[in-house]
Amino acid sequence: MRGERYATAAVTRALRLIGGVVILFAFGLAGTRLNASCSIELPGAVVGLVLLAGALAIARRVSAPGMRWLRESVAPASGALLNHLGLLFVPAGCALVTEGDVLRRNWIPILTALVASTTLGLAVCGWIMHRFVAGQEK
Amino acid sequence: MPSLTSLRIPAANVLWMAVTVSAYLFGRAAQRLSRGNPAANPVLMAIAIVSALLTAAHVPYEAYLRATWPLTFLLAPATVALGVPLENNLIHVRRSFLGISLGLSVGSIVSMISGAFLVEVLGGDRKVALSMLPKASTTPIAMAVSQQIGGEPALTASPAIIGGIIAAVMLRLILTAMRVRDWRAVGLAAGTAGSGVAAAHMSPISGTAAAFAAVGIGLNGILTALTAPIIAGFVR
Repeated sequence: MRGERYATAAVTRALRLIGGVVILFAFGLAGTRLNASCSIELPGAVVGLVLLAGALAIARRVSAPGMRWLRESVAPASGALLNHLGLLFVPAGCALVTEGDVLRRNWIPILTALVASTTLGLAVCGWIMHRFVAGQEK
Repeated sequence: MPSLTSLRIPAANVLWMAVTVSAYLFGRAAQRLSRGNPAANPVLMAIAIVSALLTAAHVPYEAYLRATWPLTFLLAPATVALGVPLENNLIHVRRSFLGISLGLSVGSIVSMISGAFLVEVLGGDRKVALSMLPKASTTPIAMAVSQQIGGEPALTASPAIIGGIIAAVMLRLILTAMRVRDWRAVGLAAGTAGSGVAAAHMSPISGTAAAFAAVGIGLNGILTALTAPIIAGFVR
């Protein structure tokens, strides 16, 4: 009996996750459509990200049942996807095998630019933010 | 994609999905064993293992990509999902609006310009310079932007992860040397310059830093998507 209850709970959780992923896809699709209609060139999923953040911010203010439903259904799916975000781009990252020649020719510029620009971005961003929040209360 | 009428699933698809997931799980276990050393990055290890196996087995990359389509398919909803942590921490943006908007935009643009133009100055290919341009933003957004501005997503993914590792290692060194000790500044810098890879190292240290890192990742992703095409116009 207990095993059965656990199994039912697991299926319910899985269905919630799938439902959440479908909602995320819907926001991505809305973003893609919005792009097409405004003829801006942004990845559709990035516009979907902005739309989702906006919808959640509205849901936080208006605690109507529908809005609360959006928060509760999107959160588990997004947590699961973001916990294993790295796994999702392993196939795309493996395209390196087709770029062997480019890598052999460019590894010095790539590594130099990578170290220099990452350090520079880190230092500039941290320093400016520090200047602005230094006197401010947490 | 499995055909609907027969529900036939090619054995190769199952094999390569299993290989990819196992390589990733192996990487995660290795990172746990090394006590969270940023250099032991699970994704980088998985990419290295799978690439070595593909080369050894003479499997064309397109066949592998087709076999593992469900993973790539989930990249879009995962990118949208970044809106959730962003919104959860959005309250901080209002409280230190000027610092975040200036620090983030200057840091992000400096990193894009220096990344692309250093490659160019050092004699790298144009495609490589364009691929390096969006590498500070979170990897899925960086790859999408790279594709859009004429770069090669594969040449963006690994630098994006390695950049995150560099940021995680340099964080203490650089920011301590510059006497940046405020957790809000450390977190924002980690999220902006090192995306998720560096941000993952914030949560065990400070909740405030982790929150500002989440804001940095989300906003830098949006900013990169908006400004990278403009900066790319200057790359010859």
